[in-house]
Amino acid sequence: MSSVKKDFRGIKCPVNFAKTKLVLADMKDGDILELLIDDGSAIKNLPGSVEKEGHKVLSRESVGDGGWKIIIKK
Amino acid sequence: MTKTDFNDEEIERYARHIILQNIGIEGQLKLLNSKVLIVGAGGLGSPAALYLAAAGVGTIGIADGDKVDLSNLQRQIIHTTKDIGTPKTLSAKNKMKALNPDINVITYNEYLNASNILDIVLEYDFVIDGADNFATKFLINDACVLANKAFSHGGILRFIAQTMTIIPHESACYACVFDTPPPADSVPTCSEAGVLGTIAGILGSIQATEAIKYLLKEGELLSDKLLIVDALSMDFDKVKFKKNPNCRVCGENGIKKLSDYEQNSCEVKI
Repeated sequence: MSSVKKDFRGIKCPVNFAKTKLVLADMKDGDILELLIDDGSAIKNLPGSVEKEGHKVLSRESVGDGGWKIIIKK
Repeated sequence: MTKTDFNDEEIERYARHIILQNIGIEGQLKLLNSKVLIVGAGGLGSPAALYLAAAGVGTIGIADGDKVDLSNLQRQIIHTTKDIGTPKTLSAKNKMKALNPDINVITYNEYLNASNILDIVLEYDFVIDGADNFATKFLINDACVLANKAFSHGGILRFIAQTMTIIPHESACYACVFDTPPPADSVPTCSEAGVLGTIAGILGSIQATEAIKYLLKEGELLSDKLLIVDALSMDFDKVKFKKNPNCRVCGENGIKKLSDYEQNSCEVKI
C-alpha cells in the first residue's frame, strides 16, 4: 500500500475533482491519497463526489489559510 | 491507452466530461481517439461539428463541395458573414480549430458520390448525415451499409425535423423505412422550402449526441426509432420501425455496390 500527496488548492470546482479522479485512477485499491483543497465550494463538494465514486474519505481537517486536508482511501 | 494521458489543459477543458460517471477518464480518452465524418457543413453539420469539436472527438472529417452564401447564415451557424464565398469545409475547419486546437479536422471540399464516398466512410467510426438532398442521403445510407458503419440520418424542413440512428445489419436502415427517394413532384419546390433556423440547431445537436453515445457505448440510441420533432407544438415523437429482411439495401439480397441516385433539379437546399 502506498500513499500519494497532492495540493489542489487554488484549483476551482470541478477541475479539482477531475484531477482527483485522474490521480485516483492511477492508484491501487487501498492506497491513500492526501489531498489539500480550498475552503468553500471545494470542501463542500469534493469529499461527497469522491465518495460517490466509491472511495472512502477517512478524515478532513482545516490546515489554516482557508485550506483543508482530506485523506482518501481508494 | 494510458489512463493519465491528459495534460493540465486537457483536464481543465474536459473537466465536465471527466467528472460525469458515464464518461469519466476512459470515456473522454475514447472520444479523443474517435473519428466522426460529417457530410454537409450546413444547417445540421454546423452544430454537430461545433459540439463534436468541443467534446474532443479526436478526428472530425467534414465533407461539402459548396461555398458559404449569405442565405446560409440564417441557420448555418458555424459560418459568419466574413466567410461568404469561402469553401464551407474550410470555414467550418477554422471555427472548429479555434474552438478546440487539440482536434484533427480533415476537409473534403467536394460533393460525395458513388465513386468517392466508400473510401472516405471507411476511415471513420461514425457518420453524420447533414446532407441537403435525398440523393446524398440515400447514398450515405448505402455506403454505410456496405462499409458497416453506424450513422445518424437527419432531415429538416419548415418547422419539422427527423432523425434516426442506423446500425447496419442490426437496426432498420434509411431504405428499410423510406425505400427510395420520393418522386420529384412530392418534393417541396423552392418557394415551399423554408426552414426555421433553430430546428437545424436542435436536430444537429441531437445527431452529435447520438454520435457521442455510440462512441461511448452509453445509453439507448435512436435505432429502429425515427424521432420526429415539431418545433411549433414542441412535440418529440418516436415512431418504431423494424429492419426489413427484404430491404433493397440491407436485406438478404441487398446492394453489393454503390450507384448514384438521380438528383431532382429544383430540390430543397437546406
